[in-house]
Amino acid sequence: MAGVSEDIRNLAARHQEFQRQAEALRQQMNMVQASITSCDQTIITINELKTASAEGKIAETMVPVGFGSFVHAEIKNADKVIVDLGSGFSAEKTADEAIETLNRRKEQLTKILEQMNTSLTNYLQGMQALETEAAKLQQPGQA
Amino acid sequence: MSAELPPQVQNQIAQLQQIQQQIQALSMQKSQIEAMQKESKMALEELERLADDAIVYRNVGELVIKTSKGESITKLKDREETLSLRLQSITRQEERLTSRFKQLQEQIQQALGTRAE
Repeated sequence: MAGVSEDIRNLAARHQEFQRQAEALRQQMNMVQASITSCDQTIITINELKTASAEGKIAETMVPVGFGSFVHAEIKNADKVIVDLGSGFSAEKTADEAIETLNRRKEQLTKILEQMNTSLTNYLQGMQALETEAAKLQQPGQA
Repeated sequence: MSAELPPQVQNQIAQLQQIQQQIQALSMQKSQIEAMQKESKMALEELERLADDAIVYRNVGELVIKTSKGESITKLKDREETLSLRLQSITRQEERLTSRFKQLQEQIQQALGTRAE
């Protein structure tokens, strides 16, 4: 009997570890998903700016100065975009090149998200297997 | 329950818990460094795609400083090397702690086993 409770304790500890890792992974997945959404929004903004400043027009916009307040501004050149490359580096690109970079980044992030999703499924399956094992140990007659 | 245990075993259990916390902290540091390595690799790939005369900016605290493609690649490669060294050092620490953890675990199990007999 003491052996069974020891086994259950071990299973519970492993289950808890899986749960902790799955929770950490979920948080990271949320961050990756937020980055993908941010890429999409940026692509939309760049495209909109391109349209607004097409044929030599100057796009009129508003710049946020904080607390929901804005000042009027004009975008002199919507075809030059400074894109974040990661690790604290950015590069000046044309609007089309910027969109290309953002799409590439989105693809990379989507792949990472898929890999994370596979790991999450593995953790969840591992947890389920431990639960089944624990249920078997707790069945009367098995103990 | 722990009141019934000999002080030596209680001490070993406390050490075991402390080591477990240290291993968890190291594991978090390790994943942070690995994430930074991945980001550096991606940034390096992007930098290498740029034209040689491209305008590149580098974040320095609150400032953004204009720099060149070549200089950025050198800086990023240096950073990758530093990260790799830090990762090696953390992995070694982790291995040392894991081995100490197993050793303590065995000692505690032995001590508890002897008491049970």
